[in-house]
Amino acid sequence: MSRYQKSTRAILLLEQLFLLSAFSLLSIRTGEVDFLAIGLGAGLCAFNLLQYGILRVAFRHMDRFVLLAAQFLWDVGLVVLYRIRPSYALKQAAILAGSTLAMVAAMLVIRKSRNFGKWNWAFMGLAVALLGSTLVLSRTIGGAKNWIRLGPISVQPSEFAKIFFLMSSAYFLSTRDKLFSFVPYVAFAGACAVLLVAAKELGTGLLFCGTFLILFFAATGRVFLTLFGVGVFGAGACASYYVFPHVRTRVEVWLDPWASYNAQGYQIVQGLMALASGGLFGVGLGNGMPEVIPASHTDYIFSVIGEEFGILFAAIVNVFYLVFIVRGMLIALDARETYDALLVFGCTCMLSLQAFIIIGGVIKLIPLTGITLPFISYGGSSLLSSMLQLGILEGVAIKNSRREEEELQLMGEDIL
Amino acid sequence: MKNERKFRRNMRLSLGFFVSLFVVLIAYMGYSVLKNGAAWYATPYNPRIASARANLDGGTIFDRNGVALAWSEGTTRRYHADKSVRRACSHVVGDIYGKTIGAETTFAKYLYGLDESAISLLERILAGEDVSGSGRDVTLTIDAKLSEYIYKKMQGRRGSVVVLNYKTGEVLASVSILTFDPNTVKMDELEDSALVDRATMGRYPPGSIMKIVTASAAVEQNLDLTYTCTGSEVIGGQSVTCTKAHGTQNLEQAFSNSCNTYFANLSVSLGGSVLKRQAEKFGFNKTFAYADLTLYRSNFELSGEAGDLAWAGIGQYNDLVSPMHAALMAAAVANGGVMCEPRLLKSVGGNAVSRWGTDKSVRVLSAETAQAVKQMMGKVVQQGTGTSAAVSGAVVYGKTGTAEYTENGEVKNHSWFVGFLDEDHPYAVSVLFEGAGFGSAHAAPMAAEVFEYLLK
Amino acid sequence: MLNSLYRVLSVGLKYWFLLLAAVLAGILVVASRREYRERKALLGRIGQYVGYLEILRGLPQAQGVRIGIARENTVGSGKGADIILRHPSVQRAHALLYMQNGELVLSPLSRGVTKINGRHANNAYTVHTGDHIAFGEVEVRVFVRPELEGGEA
Repeated sequence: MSRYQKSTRAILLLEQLFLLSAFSLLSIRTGEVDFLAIGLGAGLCAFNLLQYGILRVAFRHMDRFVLLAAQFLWDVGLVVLYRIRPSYALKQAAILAGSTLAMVAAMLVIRKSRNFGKWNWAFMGLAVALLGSTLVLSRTIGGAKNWIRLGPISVQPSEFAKIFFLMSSAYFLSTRDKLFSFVPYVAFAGACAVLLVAAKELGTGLLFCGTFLILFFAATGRVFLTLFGVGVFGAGACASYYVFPHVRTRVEVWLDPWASYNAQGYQIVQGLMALASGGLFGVGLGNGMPEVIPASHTDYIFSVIGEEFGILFAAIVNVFYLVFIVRGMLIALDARETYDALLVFGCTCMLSLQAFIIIGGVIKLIPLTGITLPFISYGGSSLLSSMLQLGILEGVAIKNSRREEEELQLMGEDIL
Repeated sequence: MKNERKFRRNMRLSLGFFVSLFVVLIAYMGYSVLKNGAAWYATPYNPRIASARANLDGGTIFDRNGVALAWSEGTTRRYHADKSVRRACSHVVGDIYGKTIGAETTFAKYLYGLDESAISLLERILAGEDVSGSGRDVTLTIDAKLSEYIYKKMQGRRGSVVVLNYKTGEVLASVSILTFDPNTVKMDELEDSALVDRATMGRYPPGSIMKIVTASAAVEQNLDLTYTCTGSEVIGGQSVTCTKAHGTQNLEQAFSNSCNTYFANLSVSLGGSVLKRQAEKFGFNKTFAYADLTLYRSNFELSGEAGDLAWAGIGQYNDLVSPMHAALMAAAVANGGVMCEPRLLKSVGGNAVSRWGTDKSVRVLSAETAQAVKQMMGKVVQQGTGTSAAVSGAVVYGKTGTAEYTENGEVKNHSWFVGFLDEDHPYAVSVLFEGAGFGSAHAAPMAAEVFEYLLK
Repeated sequence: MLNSLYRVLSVGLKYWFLLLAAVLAGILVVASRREYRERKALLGRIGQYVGYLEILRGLPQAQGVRIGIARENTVGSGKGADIILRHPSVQRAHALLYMQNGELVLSPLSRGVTKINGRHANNAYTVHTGDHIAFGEVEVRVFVRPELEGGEA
């Protein structure tokens, strides 16, 4: 499809222009020329071009638009991270390079294989084990126990449990039909949710539940059962509202963060002030105050984007997520194998729900539950998991596109 | 998988669901930030403002006649030399320690140059200035001399006086007692309520000034009762009393006598939903999102009991209103039914501020209704309860209020007066004295003194 | 000096970043939408054919052209035909070409000459990929999708 090379090339170059101009600006922020910023900017630029170039040659059939959308998202993330603290951006860039390898591995595996039926029980076990391990081994960060320290690095196991959850979901929903045969799957999803809530990872719990319900509805088409599931979820949410004080605080803070400005509402209020300070066009890169927002480099990175680039820019970031979602869904729709379709559908649901939950929390549309913003937030586990999901998307896209090309070769494109 | 086709259809449905989720996200973000952004930003909690105060030279705050009320020398903040002026304007000007919300906080963006455009920065650099931060001067609509005059005439009585131009919404004076001195506010041991701006944050039962709302509803409904007041009447099990038996009256007479039993009956005849709708047209139960000042919500609620409705119609029950909102209500009647957005900011750096698309002025009453209510308010001052507000040289319109409340088991009265002058002198005034007694005895004479000053 | 420059640039460049992002998003949305639509349209058009006829001889100006075969086609020189071969030796409605039990069947309609691999065809015959058919003096080669041949009921 070389007809679109002009557009894709324009997008690729403009993205690098964004990176370069942002990093050049950051390089003079401290009053003297910061060569690290220039170096990192140029390095990332080269990395993006190289990544795109190599992947394009190696996987002729890959979906370029998805990759380009993701590239812009992590470009924005790296610029903001560098502005918050250069070391964050350096680490994130290194993880990005590593994750690209993981993404390629995922693409290769998905491209080759049909499904992972044999492995399904192992996946389920791994997912539960990962989630369970956080409860046992973790230390508490920001009210949620979701990190495990392995030597010098912290790992967030729930990020990897996501991938296994998605693969297992795709397997169950593509192979089972009878209501009774879903019991192990429903039990598995329920176990994941319970473990997450127990670890106080409400955001990820919400994400798993939402993805489960949407997948279940789409695959089985059982409206009433899904509504029943929504009911159970709602009842669980209500119950946890009464049982867990931290859930109750979340809701109260959401309703009126200003009432507890100095305590629980602090983060939300700071986020809102940052958005207000930015206004439509922002205060300019480097002129905001991300240092007063807790978790400004992870969960709250969206409010930093809003402050320094403005909410119009933030809205455009949402448009990039939208492009990602739409392309993802189209890949799922084109997939010939039900398993592939479900897998891609699941990944797309998960990524878009994740973006929605955290952005909605930051702008106070829904109660705040701390999860990372895919591709943008700082965090190795999160970025790696997002990249794996991107790899799955691309793997199936390659399968689809190959089939299409075979068909074209068979019949000839110029047929009358 | 039983039904591939259904699955594909459901995937399309989910796609639509996600797209709409994100559309909602973008729309809500734009809506909430544009609507509430100014309020979110201009709070004493905002660390951006605190950091600017600590590091940058602030601009000067002038009153409408060019009197400097606050300025910076280095990073120290200086205030007007006269103590009475400082204390009269302190709630409007605010402080720099985040104790109150005034111009220092609301207009911090301008005062510390946090909103400067690249072009003006460039101009300043080319002119050889240091752009690391120094702010712009802000001119308020406040008249410092008038404020000082009011402050002195209030003689320390707790309450608030608000003066505004009803044609433009410009606030000329907003004085609140208790008050504080910005020079020493950091170390002074103040009563808690000294930091509360009674004009915008004090919420008081309106008493009879609420009859402006009730009467305007009656005019709109074309309801002119003829009723004989015997001094008291039991409505819905609750006794409504008057100061004396007013005899047989129509709407205009009852308004000028401020007859409670008449208006209690009128409220019941109008019905709760009509009255509530009318109050909400005047801005009750609504969050005021004004750009220049933080105004607390006014309250009007009903229980469904006829007795409570009767009391709500004469400004008791759970009715609450701030002196600023009371002034705005009078201003709306004076201005042919349009309630202007109150303004405190006249100009920034000598240039008028762009209010494009953000003006929150609303039509509250039709011009005819406003005219009818205005006439009634004229009668109040000519021959009714408000004669002590009359001055020579202009026609005064007004309404007194005596609002009952209980403090430590003792029944007391807030003294209210709201009023305005004829169109040649477009000023509306609201006066409140906490627990002072009758409106006609305390608030109305104070208003007369303000009117006299304005006519000079 | 650098400080002042940074302050001006940081405030000024925000519009540049916004513009860049807006242009990027615009191109991405438009190009991605167009690419998908055109790909689907092309595949959809091709997908409806069960195979094609490639013109070998008889029509010099259309030599090598491939004509898609739908599930039922009439072959002829008339305007009403699905597959039109404009040549004097081809009858207006020359033959029928249709799928039956997973096989492509050729059934001559008129007195005109119809040959399969050089032999006259008077009744309905199945044709397969690689067969040569002559309608009058026009000779074509048949291609049928491999997954259809013999598979579909």
